Amino acid sequence: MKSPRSTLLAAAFIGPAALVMAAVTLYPILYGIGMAFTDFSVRHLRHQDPHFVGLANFMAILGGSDALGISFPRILGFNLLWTFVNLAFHVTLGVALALLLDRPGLRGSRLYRAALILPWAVPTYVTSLTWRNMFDAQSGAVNLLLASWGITGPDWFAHFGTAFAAVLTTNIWLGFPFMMMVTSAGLKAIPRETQEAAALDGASAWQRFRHVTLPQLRPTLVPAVLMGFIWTFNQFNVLYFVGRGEPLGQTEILVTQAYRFVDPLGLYGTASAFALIIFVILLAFTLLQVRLTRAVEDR
Amino acid sequence: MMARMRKAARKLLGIGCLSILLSACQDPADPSVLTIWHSWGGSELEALRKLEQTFRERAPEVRVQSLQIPHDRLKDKFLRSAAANGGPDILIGDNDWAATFTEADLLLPIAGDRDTTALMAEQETTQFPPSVREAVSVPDRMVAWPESVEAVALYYNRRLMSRPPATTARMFADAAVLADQNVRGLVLNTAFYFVAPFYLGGGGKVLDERGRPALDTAPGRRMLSWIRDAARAPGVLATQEYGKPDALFKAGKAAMIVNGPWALADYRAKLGPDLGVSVLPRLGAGKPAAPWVGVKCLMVNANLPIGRRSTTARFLRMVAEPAMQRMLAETAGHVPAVRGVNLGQNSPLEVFQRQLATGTPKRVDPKLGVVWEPMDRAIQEVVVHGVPAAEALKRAQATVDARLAAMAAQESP
Amino acid sequence: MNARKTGLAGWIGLLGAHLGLAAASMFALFPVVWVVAMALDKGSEAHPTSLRLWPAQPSLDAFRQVLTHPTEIEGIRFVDLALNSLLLAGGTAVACIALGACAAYAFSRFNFPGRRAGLVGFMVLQLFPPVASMAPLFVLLSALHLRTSLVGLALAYASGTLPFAIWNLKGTFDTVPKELEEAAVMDGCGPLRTFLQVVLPLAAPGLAVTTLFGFMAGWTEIVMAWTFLEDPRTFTLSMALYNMVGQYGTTRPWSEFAALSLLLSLPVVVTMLLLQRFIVSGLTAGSVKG
Repeated sequence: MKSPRSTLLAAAFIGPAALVMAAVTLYPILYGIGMAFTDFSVRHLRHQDPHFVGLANFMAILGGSDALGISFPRILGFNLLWTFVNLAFHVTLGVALALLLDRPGLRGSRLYRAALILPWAVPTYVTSLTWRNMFDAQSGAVNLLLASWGITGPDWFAHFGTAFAAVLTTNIWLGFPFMMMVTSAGLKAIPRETQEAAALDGASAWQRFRHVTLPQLRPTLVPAVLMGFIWTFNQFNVLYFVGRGEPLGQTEILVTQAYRFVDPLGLYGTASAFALIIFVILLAFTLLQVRLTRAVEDR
Repeated sequence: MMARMRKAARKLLGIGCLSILLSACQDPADPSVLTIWHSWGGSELEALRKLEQTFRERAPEVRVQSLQIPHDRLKDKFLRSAAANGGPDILIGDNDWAATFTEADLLLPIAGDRDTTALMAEQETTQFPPSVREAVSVPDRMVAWPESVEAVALYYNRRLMSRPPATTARMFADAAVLADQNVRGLVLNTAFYFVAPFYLGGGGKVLDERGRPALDTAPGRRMLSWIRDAARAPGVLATQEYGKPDALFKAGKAAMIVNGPWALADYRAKLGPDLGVSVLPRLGAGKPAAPWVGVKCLMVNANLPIGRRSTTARFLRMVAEPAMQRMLAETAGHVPAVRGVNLGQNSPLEVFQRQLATGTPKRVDPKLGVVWEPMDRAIQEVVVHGVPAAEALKRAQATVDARLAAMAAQESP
Repeated sequence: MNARKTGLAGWIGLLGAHLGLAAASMFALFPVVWVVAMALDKGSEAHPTSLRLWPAQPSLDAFRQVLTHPTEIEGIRFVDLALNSLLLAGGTAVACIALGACAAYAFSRFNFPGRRAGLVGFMVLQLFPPVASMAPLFVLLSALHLRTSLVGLALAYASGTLPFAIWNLKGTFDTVPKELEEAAVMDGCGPLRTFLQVVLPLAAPGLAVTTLFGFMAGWTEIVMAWTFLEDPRTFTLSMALYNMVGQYGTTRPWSEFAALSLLLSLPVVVTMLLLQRFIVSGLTAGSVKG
């Protein structure tokens, strides 16, 4: 139905949401974009009188390791590593568990599902503080558990490798239930018969998964992965409360670094520039992903 | 071209100004209310309630409304609210916050020669010792009203050791002897604030004579190496977390800890008569340790309505009265900020008072605010990762310089 | 079913499935068990030296303490905080679902110029991290006199969850057969009535999941709440939880933090378990292209 009337109707239906988003989200974002090109700092908070500085904030951020005492390529590199490794675990674990739960004849699947959905239901802040405590070198549950097996656990946040393992574990715990539930939703939409037909044709379990199940899951998984990418790329809580940038700022991602420019330093202009850079990166990845999946689907 | 772009930016930000103007149209200032934001809990909250009670007796027409906010949200909350023409009349906080607030033009001057808007008369500030006044002042005016003074000292567990160490050498010898499977000799928070007494006492620098950051000095390198050795000494548990040493000491699982007077009530409740407090041990060659001296203070919002000025001034004056200062010491373990409040020989607070004498004032200086994180990191690099002290300090200095340059760039376009 | 197939191989497969699921469940439950143990531990050692997943002297003291004195603010009871949390989370969910469902319906059903761009626009807005936009939002809500009220917060949260809501609901509406609506229109239903009485009931699972998302956003958020609110009578449970462990907030024992954490998580956990089946069918997350 394409007519002036339906356009009017659409406007009426979308209007309220658009209005709220425009006021509460779009306006602050536009304002923030404006701030990115100014020297907005603590002293401008009250009188809102910053000066236009052109691209100075961006040059300071991108300009290398000396400016601002950070290395942008390093942080971006870690941010991407963080995102991809997490997503790999989330998707693999989520899909695997959903498939296991979907197994015909499995008893107690409701019970398992109840346990597995739990991490999703716990507030992130509680999760973060709990895992930070659990990774404590001397009195954390992880090292105490290892000790009961006769293993001396490491000082988790003293070295990059173990610190990364710690924040990763936390975020895997946090994120796999969503992927599992999404996959379960996708599996529901796949008729059992196709599976059974493939089984009768003598396809192995892996072949059936690779050629029958996975392609049918794709329409459900692709948007979920895209959402997961955005959420993980900007996962503030885990890296701020669990990783705290340790060791030596090596587990800092772009958003936590941007936040540190606001909190002790009051460099709002710099932080806004950071936000804009994050936005551009995410937009590029999103468009790339959309284009890639469309290419695959059109084939 | 530049001017046009600047104009465009102004226009965009002008929308913000407009919204600020709109937000100014709130209910008229009610002179019978006084609002206070703070982060005091436990015994400190009890002390605040006593202050409010006393004030209520003196000024029954005024309703004091105090709001407790988590310590790590309070500074940011005041900053944003006051900048949007809101916020409380009085903020209870740390004196170094005043650096940010002053820059943002959010504080009403407390006193100043040439300042006619100041809340108090100059002579009222003489009840504070010069070092305390200095710690709440910017060059031409006083920006906060001192409530109490704080610096770290040495707590020890009398059940584990009869006598506190007089020298750092003794402290490490004791720590090594006392430690066993269940007990640590010394639990040391290696965040810069807590090891600064040794770093600064041994000649390490933060700011040079002209007030510019100068971290990479020969004594600084020496003391940073000293901190590394201290952290790795037998019987010592070193960490940059506040909670862990604190919990171990409270549980009686550590013989010594470096901490401030804010922990006194808590430790006393847990350890009872076993708790001992002493000034920090002297460094080699008899140099005293030089902890940071911070001031807890009452800051007055620049948005204070005219009608509440006299009430606010009355409240501030009351807090500095000797009786109230003694009440704050007894109830909350706060070391008095005014002169001449006698705490009694060898009471723990008297120990802190003595410790202050060798301290380094933590001034209202934005440059100081930039130093903490890079120094924390330098210590961590040296202690945990074995980076040479010179290299770590050089890097810290570079970070501080870069951040100060970024901040300076924001000052003058 | 092939009888031979369900024999040995099937049995081994089933065993493997149980093993895998049990291992994953233990991973999922371990931290939860730890927090429960901490909440029940009267001694509540913040830094224990051995792993104890069941306390030596289990006690409900921490729960009692948290329920009677959730904060140090005088006159604020647990029920007040819980009620505010409920209002805030419920308000967020309602705003999110009301605004989101309407918009998603339009994107799903109407063909109008700028439809694609509009949809993308909603999605793109969530790519912008809120790190710098909090300052203007603070000023804006102050100007509207909404900042210190739960209404303002609910609006801000709803705005944050709207992109997901629109996306997920559009996916759900896409699966509702158009024929039903056409039949309704033939019967003389207006577009609003068709939407409310025909489409919405069929989209119940998607609506449930979206509501849950909105609810969780409002139920757990802390930083914005502590930045915006100024009156203790509007404070929430999650704010009380944060206040327990602020940077130097060592006055409350760990057992109480653990107990309040559990009490805070409980409603969401229960709702999720009850809605489990709905969640599975409601999470279509835009599974239909376009």
